[in-house]
Amino acid sequence: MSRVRGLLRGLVRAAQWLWLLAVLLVVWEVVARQAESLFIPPFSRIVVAFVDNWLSGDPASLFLSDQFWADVLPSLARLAAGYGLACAIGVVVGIVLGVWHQAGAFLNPLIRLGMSVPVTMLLPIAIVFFGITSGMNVSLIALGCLWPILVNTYDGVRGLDTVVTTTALSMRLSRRRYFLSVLLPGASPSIIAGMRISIGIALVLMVISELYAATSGLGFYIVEQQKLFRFPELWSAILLVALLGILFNAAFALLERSALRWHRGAKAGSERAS
Amino acid sequence: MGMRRAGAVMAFATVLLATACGGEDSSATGTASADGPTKVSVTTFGCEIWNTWAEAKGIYAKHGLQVEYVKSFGGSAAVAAVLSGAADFGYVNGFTAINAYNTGFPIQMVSGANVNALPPAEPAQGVFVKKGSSYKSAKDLVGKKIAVNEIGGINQIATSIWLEANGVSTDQVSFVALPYAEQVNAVNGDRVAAAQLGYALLGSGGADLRSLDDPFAALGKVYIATYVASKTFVAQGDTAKRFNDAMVETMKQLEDPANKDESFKLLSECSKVPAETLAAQPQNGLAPKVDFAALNDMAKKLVDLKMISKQPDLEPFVPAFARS
Amino acid sequence: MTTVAQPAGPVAQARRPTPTWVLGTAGVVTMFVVWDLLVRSGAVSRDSLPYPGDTLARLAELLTDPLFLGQVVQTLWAWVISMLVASVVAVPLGLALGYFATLYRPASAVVHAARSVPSSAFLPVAILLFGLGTQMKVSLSVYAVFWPILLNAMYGVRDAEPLMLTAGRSMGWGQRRLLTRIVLPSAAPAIATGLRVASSTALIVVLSAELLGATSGVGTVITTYQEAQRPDYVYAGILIVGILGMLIYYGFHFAERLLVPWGHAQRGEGR
Repeated sequence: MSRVRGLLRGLVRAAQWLWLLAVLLVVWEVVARQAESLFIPPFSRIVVAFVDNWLSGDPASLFLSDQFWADVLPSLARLAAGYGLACAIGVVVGIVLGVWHQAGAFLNPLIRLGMSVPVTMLLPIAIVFFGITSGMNVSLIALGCLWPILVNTYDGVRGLDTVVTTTALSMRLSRRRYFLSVLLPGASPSIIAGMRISIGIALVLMVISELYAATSGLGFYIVEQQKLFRFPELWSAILLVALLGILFNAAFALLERSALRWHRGAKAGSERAS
Repeated sequence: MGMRRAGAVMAFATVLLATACGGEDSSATGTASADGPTKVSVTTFGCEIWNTWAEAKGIYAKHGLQVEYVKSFGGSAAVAAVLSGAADFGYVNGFTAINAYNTGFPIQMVSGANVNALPPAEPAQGVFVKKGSSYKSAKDLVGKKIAVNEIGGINQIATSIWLEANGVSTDQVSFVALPYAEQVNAVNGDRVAAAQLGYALLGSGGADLRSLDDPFAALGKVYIATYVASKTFVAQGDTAKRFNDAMVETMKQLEDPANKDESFKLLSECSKVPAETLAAQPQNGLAPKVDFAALNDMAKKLVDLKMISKQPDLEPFVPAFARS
Repeated sequence: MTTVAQPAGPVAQARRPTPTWVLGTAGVVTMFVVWDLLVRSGAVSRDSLPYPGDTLARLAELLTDPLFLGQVVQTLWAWVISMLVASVVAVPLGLALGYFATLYRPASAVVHAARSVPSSAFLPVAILLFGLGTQMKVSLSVYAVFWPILLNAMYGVRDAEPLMLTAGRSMGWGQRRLLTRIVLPSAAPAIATGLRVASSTALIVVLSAELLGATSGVGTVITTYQEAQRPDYVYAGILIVGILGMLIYYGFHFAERLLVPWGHAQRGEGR
């Protein structure tokens, strides 16, 4: 009985979250049908195109169509590579710069400069250096994602609660211990916030880096459909990108919550101790 | 923030939006003022020989037109410009125009411009590879990258047809979109195996390239460049007809051998490429009137390539004044 | 628990540290030196990467060219309009959505869904709807920054100290007073952060739109030089864009300090 009640409660919760979204989609449907614009088809038609394009495969390949495997997978792989690279470099450099203040001040203007240049502008340059290969896309994604992670890691390290750090000092923790038990957990909310912002940027760059000088991928598919004036297909790809974005966002929200819990717990612990 | 202030803020926002929307894109009027020429905006790649001639000789003015040029990247962007009102006449290749019409966009072809250079004329287009490379035929391009100006554009279509005619399936090559200047660099730098573009667009880097073949030779008569306009624009007044008349007159003068030197000189002033270089390049054919049969053939090729599902009825697409 | 302005980490500062601006300038100079060496040594081809000297010369040239400056104005104009439109709608809306609990949850769902789509995906549609001018750039930019501003306003309201609200209510303050005296000031730091982040994003989206097909703005200049194969101008343009972004960032940073000083006190200084 309580399980049923739990399920009902879950459904009510879901409805609370989703009713506005549903209303807006219905409005879209009605308006689009009335306006009969070729550029913005009714949502139902987009859903049909979406299923056709991406979900029409056989059960063996998870119902995902060949189109999906051919276009989306390479893009996602590049996204993962670029994002992973940015995380690795960003966290390491951010920590180094956060601890070594001179280096931080030295590189700060350059970092601000680097952040301000839209990566799209570097597309022709990337082609010169990497040619028309996946390396070009990966490097662009990595370069664009790097900054939020780097800056947030730096902020996280610098913003460590001084009570915690002085306590650690007085305990004469080894470098390693300090690093693992104080620095990383303390900075982790910032770091994860940076990583969350970056995944959004990674998604944007995944699409942009394929708008020209690419031979396959989701961004390539979007451009192709646009050039051929196939709007339902174009929108189905946009919808896919949106769903990917929602997925990544949700994953990071979960990660953030658990890291924050840890942080709060650690902080509460340290408060009790002092 | 009180409700009244919020309301005022909303009103302000609407006004801002309105001004932002009302912006410079309403320059395309196309309606004749009581006296004086009709202002029209035409998309351009930069410098087209009929434009430079018509401007210099006052042919547009003669037909009551004052032309404003809008830079466009060609192909679907030109159709977009026409449909959004950013331009009155869009400079676009025949295949893309048919594609757009077939999707249901309300455009009409108001003029031809270029057709491919058919034998015995020298080919004006090529599939270019590096001079020292080992590529000899279409078969050598299997598994390689071919650069074109636009995905789904005329260069890709022509190359696809050429490949199929030579026994290579389009699945066996990858097309990559690059701007023309980058294409030459990419071939020279071994980043792509080949690029399909016209001789006129090669630039200085073209000296190190050679052409495998003219992919348009297998196509028959194809409209490489045309002008389209929105249906509503064509319906209001006779501006579109006057544009076509101006094109006919301009191109007739351009065909006259006596005018050749001067026409290249005028073009050179615009494009900054020396006139002798321009004169030495193979030229596409000029065709201001649209050959309906040829257009239908082009549509059929699109069906063969499976780019469109069935042959569209092109009757409403080309108004009477534009047909040959 | 007060946080004192002290650098973190177990490093004891025995002597007077070098001022940050000196170090920063040294960093920039080093970048130019390394750049010069890369080209001079031939590690990078001269055709791909121009000398910094040439690039700086072109930079000066561009900054004194009225045509170029006109394009900069075009870019900034699109930026200003998009920031204004987005904030004027998103801030009040965000405040309202954050305040009324029933709307907060469903609104968050919509916002998270919409912001997940990068505005670049809409570029083809935007071009077809709005052409290639300022309107198109503004539409994409507004789409991109609307959601973070909205979200930050919503979060800001939610973070308002409930104790203070209760205190205000117990003093008999009406909705209007509660909103202006408690909610707004408490949400202001979050809104300021949202605007600061949005300012950078808006510039980037406007520039990206220009690079990918618009007809005016700094991005189009860079594309033209790209086509003309003049990398010295291209890199000069990139530097100018970077500097522009930096100016905007520092501008908002200082404006934030001035207008919302309590925000920094809340977060704790130390940087």
